[in-house]
Amino acid sequence: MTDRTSGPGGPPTVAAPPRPMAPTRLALLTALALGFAALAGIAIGAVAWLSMPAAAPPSSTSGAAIWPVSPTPEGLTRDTTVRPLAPAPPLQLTDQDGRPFDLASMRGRPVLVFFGYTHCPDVCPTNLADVRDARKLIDGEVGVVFVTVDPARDDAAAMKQYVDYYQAGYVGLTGTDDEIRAAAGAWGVSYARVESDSASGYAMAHTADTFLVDAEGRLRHRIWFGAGPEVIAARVNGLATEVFATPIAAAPTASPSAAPSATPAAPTPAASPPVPSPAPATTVRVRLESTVVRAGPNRIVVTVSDPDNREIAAPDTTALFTFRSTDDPALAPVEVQGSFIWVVRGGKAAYVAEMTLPRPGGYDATITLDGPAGRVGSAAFMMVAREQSPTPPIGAPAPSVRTPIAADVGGNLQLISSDVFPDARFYEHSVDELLAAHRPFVFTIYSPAFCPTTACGPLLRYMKEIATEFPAMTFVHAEPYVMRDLGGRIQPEYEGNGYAWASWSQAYGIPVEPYVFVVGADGRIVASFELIVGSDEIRAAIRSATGE
Amino acid sequence: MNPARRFSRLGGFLVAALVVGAVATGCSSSGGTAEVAITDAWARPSSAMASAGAAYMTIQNNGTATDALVGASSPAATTVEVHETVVMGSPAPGASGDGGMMGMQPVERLEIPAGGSVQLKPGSYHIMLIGLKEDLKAGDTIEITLTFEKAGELALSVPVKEG
Repeated sequence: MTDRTSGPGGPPTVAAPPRPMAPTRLALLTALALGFAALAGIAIGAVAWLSMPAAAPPSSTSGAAIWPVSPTPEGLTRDTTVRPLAPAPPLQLTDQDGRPFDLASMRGRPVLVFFGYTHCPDVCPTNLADVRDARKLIDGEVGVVFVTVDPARDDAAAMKQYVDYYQAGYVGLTGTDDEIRAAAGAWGVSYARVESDSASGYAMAHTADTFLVDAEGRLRHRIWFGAGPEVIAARVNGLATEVFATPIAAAPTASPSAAPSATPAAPTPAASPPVPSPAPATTVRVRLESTVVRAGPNRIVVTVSDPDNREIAAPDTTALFTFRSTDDPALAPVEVQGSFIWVVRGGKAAYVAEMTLPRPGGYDATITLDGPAGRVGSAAFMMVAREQSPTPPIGAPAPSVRTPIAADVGGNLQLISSDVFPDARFYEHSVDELLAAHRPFVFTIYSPAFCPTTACGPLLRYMKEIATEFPAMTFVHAEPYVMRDLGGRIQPEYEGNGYAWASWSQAYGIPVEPYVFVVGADGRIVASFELIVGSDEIRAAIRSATGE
Repeated sequence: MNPARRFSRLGGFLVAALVVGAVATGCSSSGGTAEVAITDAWARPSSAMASAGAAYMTIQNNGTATDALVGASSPAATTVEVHETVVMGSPAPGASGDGGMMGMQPVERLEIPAGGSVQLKPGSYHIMLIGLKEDLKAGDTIEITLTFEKAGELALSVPVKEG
């Protein structure tokens, strides 16, 4: 790992925690005229750290608040799911009574976990109040674990006073610097000591998301700060009925096409099949990543995990999909060979099925994986095909929208792209210009810095490689959100509890990001890719669009 | 010298005004009037052990000139500062939440535009009570004096309650 520290004369810094799995990117704020300074170290794996230009503090001239705190119902639909399904990262620290604590000891009930510190006046009490209010809306018991990121001030005694103050049976955890760093790293939590001339002494900047671990000890949701009690309660109450995979026997003959009921069965642990089967069943867990499924031509993406919740990423594995309409069982099931794609080469992978669904409504789907050594496993999932999709279907005219280009910002691409290394080729032409000129193009709507889902891979990096391979094709990148300029550093505007979609995102109807549209010279959509997209899929679509 | 420090030096407080609709008026040398009203003020219950608490409110400027909140004090805390909670850092690509870090920065001068208002609320601007002298308990009332550039000092009685 690499620790970056401030230059000579800079304030002391604390390295951001190591991130064994997910790469961390972290914008650094440098010392400001106010005497405020935040510097954080950073580490990590495959992706370089990100730094933003030195930023002036946001001007305090308007009433615009940065974060929403009053939850609105729209926030309930925001995707907080942690994918792939996996056991929660380890959390073995010292509790407020000075005893060793292991999160595993709380199995049997859902647990909310969040990180903070006791000297925190605003963010942490807001989280604690939201959790307190959520508990009133939660059916049944839920554990609450508060982990300090400030072990220098928060010893066990301090944590005890703090959690006792709330009189709610919360667990307060502390540890040594190294222990806290390791725990935070495992949970994908960043933190940094922020020196300031404030009378309060130093502050801790920290990831303030709330994590939801289910009764089986699996990390299920990561809930954004400010989501509010309704969202937290909805996620806890929804655990039991959330459908993410239904393992079935390897042989797809005895189709367990249980009619979808109001309360679909909770995932069955692979270890305890409801009915003993003569041959040991090979089960895998499948997760439908696509959010847009429509009647007609579709491209759906799933990720697959083995029974131990390790994501399966084997290019030599073939996937066979079947889709059976539950509204009209008489219809012949659609059977299609899926293709393997890398989301992150050598790392995250997914399977894609391209098929035409005969009608809207529910579908019972199966995926069967076969590898060189035989059957890997099989799983079932359900999905609902909409009559119409919010995004323009294949063959439809691409909406003509004005997208930001370099000329709009005097060439300062940092004002229109959150990409650390913005590629000038992506900001030369606006979508409306290209449509008017009858030129084919690839339109990527994606926020490298603010993309909120696990589907966000190094998409733009791949896109740059592809752009070099296809010099005749034009590439456009636009941030999905309305961005505001914080003195050279851009950040999405909020609307309700989510980021505010930019006009072009609204015109294309995208419900999530990233989205990639490939448009032909005739101005019609040749292909569209939601969330997860393989480089070769884009290449194939470009060839199709350019007639190569 | 950090200007934010000055917040603590104001000392004392005026006779408490009603929280809802507390109003201060003043005239600026550059013309125009500033008339500031505070509504919906509240402070979150807080353990003195935590040493820092927060108060929230809406500040409305009904005047014709921009005003600015430049200081605050309270007998309930050794120091009072205006802070803003901001996002620091970008989310991790693997994170399904926002992932970015939440941090705070002192705000030296919080402008209230003429005819406009600024909301101090959780996760955003807040009055930070540093060095609480005792627990802030629901049902209590604390005195906070705000100092505006033009409207001058404005004393508030702020109820402590659960958000």
